[in-house]
Amino acid sequence: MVENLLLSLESLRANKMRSFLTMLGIIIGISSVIAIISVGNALTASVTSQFAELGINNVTLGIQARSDGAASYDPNSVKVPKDSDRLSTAQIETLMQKFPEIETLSLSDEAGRGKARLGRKTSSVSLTGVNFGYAQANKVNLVRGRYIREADIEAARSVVVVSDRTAEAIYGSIDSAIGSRIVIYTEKAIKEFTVIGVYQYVQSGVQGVTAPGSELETGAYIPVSRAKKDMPYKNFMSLTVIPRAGTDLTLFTEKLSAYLGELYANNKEWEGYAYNMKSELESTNSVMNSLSLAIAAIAGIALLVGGIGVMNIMLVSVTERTHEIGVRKALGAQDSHIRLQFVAEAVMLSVMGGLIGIVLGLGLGFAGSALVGAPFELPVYVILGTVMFSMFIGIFFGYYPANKAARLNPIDALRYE
Amino acid sequence: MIEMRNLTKRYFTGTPNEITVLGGIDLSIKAGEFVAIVGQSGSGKSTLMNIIGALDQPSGGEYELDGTPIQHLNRSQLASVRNHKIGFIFQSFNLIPRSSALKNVELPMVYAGIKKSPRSLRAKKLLDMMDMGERMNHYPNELSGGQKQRVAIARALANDPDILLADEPTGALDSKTGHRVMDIFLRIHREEKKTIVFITHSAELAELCPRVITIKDGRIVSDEAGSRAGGSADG
Repeated sequence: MVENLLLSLESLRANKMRSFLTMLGIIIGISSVIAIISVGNALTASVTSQFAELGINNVTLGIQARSDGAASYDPNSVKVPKDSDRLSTAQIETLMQKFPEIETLSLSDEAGRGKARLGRKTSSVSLTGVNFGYAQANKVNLVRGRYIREADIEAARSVVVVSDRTAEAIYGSIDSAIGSRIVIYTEKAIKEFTVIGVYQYVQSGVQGVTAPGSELETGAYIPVSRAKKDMPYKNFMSLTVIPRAGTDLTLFTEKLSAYLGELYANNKEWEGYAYNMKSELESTNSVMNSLSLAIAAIAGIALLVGGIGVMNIMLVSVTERTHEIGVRKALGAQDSHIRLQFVAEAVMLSVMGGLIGIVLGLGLGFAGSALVGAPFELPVYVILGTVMFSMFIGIFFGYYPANKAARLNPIDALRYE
Repeated sequence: MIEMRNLTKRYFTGTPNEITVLGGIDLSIKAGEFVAIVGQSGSGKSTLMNIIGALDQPSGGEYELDGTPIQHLNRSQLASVRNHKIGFIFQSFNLIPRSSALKNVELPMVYAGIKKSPRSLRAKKLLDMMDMGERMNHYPNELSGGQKQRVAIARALANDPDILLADEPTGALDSKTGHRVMDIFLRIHREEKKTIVFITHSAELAELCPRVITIKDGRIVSDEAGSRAGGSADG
């Protein structure tokens, strides 16, 4: 076998230009397949990671205005739900008892944006009332002190967890921030808090986008009960549920949806909803997959044409070397030896084309990923698959010419000039 | 070694264009004989040679090679016979152009399934025997006609065949080189005890052979000893 491959290399080298042109079809086909798949993968991966940041496994519950019936949309009066329309703490507790799938849930409420200040030092913050589950749902990474506890919420204590950026801006270091007092000015009120924890601020594509030149605004978390003290509504419009690992998200979301539907069955203006990001991601992915598939099919046609090119050139090669085949048969070559020789040559052609195509395709994929700003993914299984596929092309399109060569009558082949 | 009874070869059988190339050959060649077959072009001597070499099949009659009836063998068995029992030497050398002298000599052994190291060893030994050891890595286009034919003889001997079939092996060489090649055949016959069947135009070379068969119009017209048998081509 190695013998045959070396032999085929020799004969390909003898016709460099022709071999290259034949390979070109395969090169174009393979490189476009590789490029398309790697760019597609990069896009999918970047979308997936963006979704994961948002908490792909979380289920969001909430209420929204009923859009059915004759009610027409009036832009001048955006409806605000009354407190009685909102989800109460008691209702939320019942929910937790009804659904053992719930590991924890995250409650939050915007308590205004403003500045944290100590003396002359300030830092922009957005004040958010949170419960214990918020940290888990939003991947808040505590670096010093502690997070808001159940007791803080029950007592509605004036405690705050600030970002490392805020701590450094105001106290100079995150260590001296713990236990310090801080004044937070919002549009509505001036409040004093005790800093109990510092979390690590992570810049992400989703949150913390600031205009150039403006100061970075980071979150400051206070107990949700403390935030509600200053707000007209005590109940919640939405909350995030974190299900236990292994929960069937689709089924769970449906169950929650049904439960909320029942809860709001008698409400004329408002209805409950449950929503999960994963189903959204899946539909996005399926669109991208079918797009990739369509382009890959076109590349597949290029490969088919390339394969026919290989077959054509192999037929020429067999005719050209008829006399040589006769000599080989006179020396005792079996049909299988001749067949293997020509199949090896075709495989060599297409695999070499495939390898060049892979290198080219990876280059294109890399450039393409950079262009769309997605991380480049090296699809190893695609590379293996492509090598196998080009080998298959060689065998498939090389077999007929090779068999033709093998079946030649020795004396006719030998007499052929 | 070779037994032929009423062997015929016809083309376009059953049509008005039917051509009889061999019209009933009875021939017996014993192991170790050195036989020259002479005849004009078109006499059928090459066809006879191809049938002896299991390259071509007769239209009728019987042919036994070393006790094996050749006309009953399939393609694969015929290939095996050509590989193991017969060594071909051609007028136009027929070396594989993209392979070195060494690789050319190794080729029949590749087809016989002999492993790389013993194969290479034997090929080198055979090339040394033909005084071609120093040029074993040369390609055919880098060799002279006489050198090519010596490589071809080494290749024919690769699988230690019983019979060497040479089809005008000196036809493409000048007379001096041709004589030298003829001497090699005489030496192989003497030292290796091979059966050699040798087609030639040259009456001068045929005379050196112990047995000379003359063919005309597809029939054997004479079968006698060469007048200078036992001599040397140069002598």
